[in-house]
Amino acid sequence: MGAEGNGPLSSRHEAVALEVRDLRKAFGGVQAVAGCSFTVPRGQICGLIGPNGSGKTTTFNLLTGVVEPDSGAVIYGGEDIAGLKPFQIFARGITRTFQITRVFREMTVLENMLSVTGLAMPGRRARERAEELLALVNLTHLRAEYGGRLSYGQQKLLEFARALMTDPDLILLDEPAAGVNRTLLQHLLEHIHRLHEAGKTIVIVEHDMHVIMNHCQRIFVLDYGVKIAEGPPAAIQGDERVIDAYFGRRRTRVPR
Amino acid sequence: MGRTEHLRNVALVVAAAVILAVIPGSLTLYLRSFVLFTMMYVVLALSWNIISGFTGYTSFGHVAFYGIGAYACAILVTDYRWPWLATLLVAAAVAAVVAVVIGYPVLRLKGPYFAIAMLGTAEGTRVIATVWDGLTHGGLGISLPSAETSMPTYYAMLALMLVTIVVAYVVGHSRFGIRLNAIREDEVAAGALGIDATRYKLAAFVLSAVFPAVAGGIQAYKVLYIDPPGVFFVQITIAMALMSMLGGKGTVIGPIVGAVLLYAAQEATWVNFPTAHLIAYGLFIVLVARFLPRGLIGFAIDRGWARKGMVH
Amino acid sequence: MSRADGGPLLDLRDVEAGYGSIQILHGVSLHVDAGEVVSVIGPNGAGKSTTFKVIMGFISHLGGEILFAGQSLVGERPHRILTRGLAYVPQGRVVFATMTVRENLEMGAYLERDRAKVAAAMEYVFSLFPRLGQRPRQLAGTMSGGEQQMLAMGRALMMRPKMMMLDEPSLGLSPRLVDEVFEQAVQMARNGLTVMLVEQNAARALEISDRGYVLELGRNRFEGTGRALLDNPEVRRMYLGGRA
Repeated sequence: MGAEGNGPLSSRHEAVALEVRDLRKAFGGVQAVAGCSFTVPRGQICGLIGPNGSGKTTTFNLLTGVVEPDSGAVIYGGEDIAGLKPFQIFARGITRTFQITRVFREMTVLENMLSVTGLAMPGRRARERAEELLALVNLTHLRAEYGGRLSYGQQKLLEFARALMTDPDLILLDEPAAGVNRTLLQHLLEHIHRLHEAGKTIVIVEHDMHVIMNHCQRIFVLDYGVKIAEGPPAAIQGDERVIDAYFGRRRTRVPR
Repeated sequence: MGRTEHLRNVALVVAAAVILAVIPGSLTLYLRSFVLFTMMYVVLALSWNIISGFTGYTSFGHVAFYGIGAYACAILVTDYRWPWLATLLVAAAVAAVVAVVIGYPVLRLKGPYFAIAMLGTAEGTRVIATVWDGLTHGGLGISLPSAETSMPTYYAMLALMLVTIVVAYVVGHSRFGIRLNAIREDEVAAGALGIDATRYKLAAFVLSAVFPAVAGGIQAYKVLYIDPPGVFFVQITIAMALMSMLGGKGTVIGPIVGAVLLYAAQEATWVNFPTAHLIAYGLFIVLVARFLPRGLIGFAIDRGWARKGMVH
Repeated sequence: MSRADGGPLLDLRDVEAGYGSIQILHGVSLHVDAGEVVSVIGPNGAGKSTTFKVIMGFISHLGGEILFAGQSLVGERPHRILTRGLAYVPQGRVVFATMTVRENLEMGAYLERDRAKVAAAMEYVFSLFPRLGQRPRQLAGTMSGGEQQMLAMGRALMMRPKMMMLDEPSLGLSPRLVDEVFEQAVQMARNGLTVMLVEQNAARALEISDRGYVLELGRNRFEGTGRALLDNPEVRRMYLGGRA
């Protein structure tokens, strides 16, 4: 894996990887994201958290092009990528994984790896890269097996490796800890740290507080569609607004 | 796939081509026709497979392109005295344009809706052919001027089949093919890997349209008479689909095997049991769907006789 | 106030449960006495909803005892558990959107053959939730989130259960609607129903609860009266993965 990736970030030495400016998105009458802004520093592992209904999933979908914002901007590599389709966002050097794995079930593990676009390299070199990544996640022996026959944990690793084929600069992980056992989670976290050491920027959306607090350097907390706090884990854990958001706020009068 | 495997496949195809090129003179007229139509169904099944097998957009209206090709050739040859071979190129071009125009709206639909939209397209084209009689002679059909022998059509179909096999092979073993498969498996995940599904689907759709169109044109010149119900025959779409599925949707060899087997079986039953033919068809569809959902090649893969995946 | 012989209405002892190969509950114990409102709270992944699911028999029970009115529920099919007097309102306000309020309620009484009892049950639900009685022919899909939650609870009440289990009733609702929904839960409790809540919105749930249990990673962490848990700073901190 190269220390410098292939996306627009690698040619510029900016301190900021991604800037989210005043994003808004409503579904029907519900304002899911209500003016969300935050700045992801380059080369750090960041967490995006918030209770259910906080808008973090919608924000993630806005960043990955699954949903178009009503207004606001997402600046990456000097360009506003808000509203671009997923394949266009990928082409700019941002990859993502899915909460529930989406490997290609009737295709082999190797084909899964090679389905990625933007590999400006001849077939043989692409295969080599695929093999390197498969070796990293210990899936080499399964390269000729159908994706759908892998265990859930193996699928998770495959999806992770697949997302790294183009050596992206910014990696967005959608609840990587969802449905995985402790051992696998440990492996995934090791890989994430390795990516971090290689200079990548990583944003994790998660519910699992232990993952977030122990592995992220900067955390953005959303509630009711806006950012209510940001900072390192220690600061967030002690932040009353954040605790209120998760624990809930009492009513002023007690009904019973 | 290693170099040796590719060479082996090329050798097989060349051998088959040579055999097929050499035999027609020594065959009876009936057998020559039989081989010609078998080759035609190989073309149809392989083409259908590109959009339905690889890309996963199951079309129940591909006969539309076949009919468009037949009519394009027939009209140009009969009414405008064009040389026949040139009309085949026009047939391909017209089919490509129609595929792009129809493709844009129709490929947005999912699964069953796409299938039905294509069915509607086929029916629509048939109705246009019937009604626009200024161009198509409507229900009267078109009688093409006859040729000396049917050999030219035989060789034309052989050439078309070889081209189709090469194209299907290249698609199947390339990254383009892998991406079509990815779209079939999970269009959302494919997008997240940079695949512009709209463009890829459209390309697959156009590719799947041009060869049946040329086949239709060759067929018109062989049979020398076409009319809307004869050409826009829903059974042709069903045959394409069934052959591809029997052999193995999503593989290259599958549709070829399926076409050969099914056409031979069809000819055998039709000749001996004309009414049983349709019943047998229906039964066959049910049996294949139930017991061989991944086709004969899929069955072989599951047994370990063939390898999984197209790219190794 | 408990059952005649003094035991709790619902009693879980060292329950273990999971999905396939993933174990979620690692020995959870709790009990609910008749007439109480009890909340089960905890951060995400604590196993709150899983607790309900194992009680209702939706997922694999791997160990421990589950007793309702003194009888074991382990191995019972969900619809049988309903007939024992235990009702469950799942997450997400699952109402039949294309059916009317009345039809939704009738679906809740599907297992009851006696028409008179069904009619009586509907009257009971309307008395508890007058708003539902005001528009029995409204399509459920056109109702607000809070009204749908009310309907979902009303539907569960059609079997005249002794105990209601509410799975995250405030999920996805705006603050005002959350108020309404907790008011509804209190209403039911005032009418003599035993209520057990699993909630993300811990503060609000504890406010209306007699007692509560705090789970973490599938184990008991704290328990006490609603008040005591609300006032305990460790409980609040736990939600963000913090340690005392």
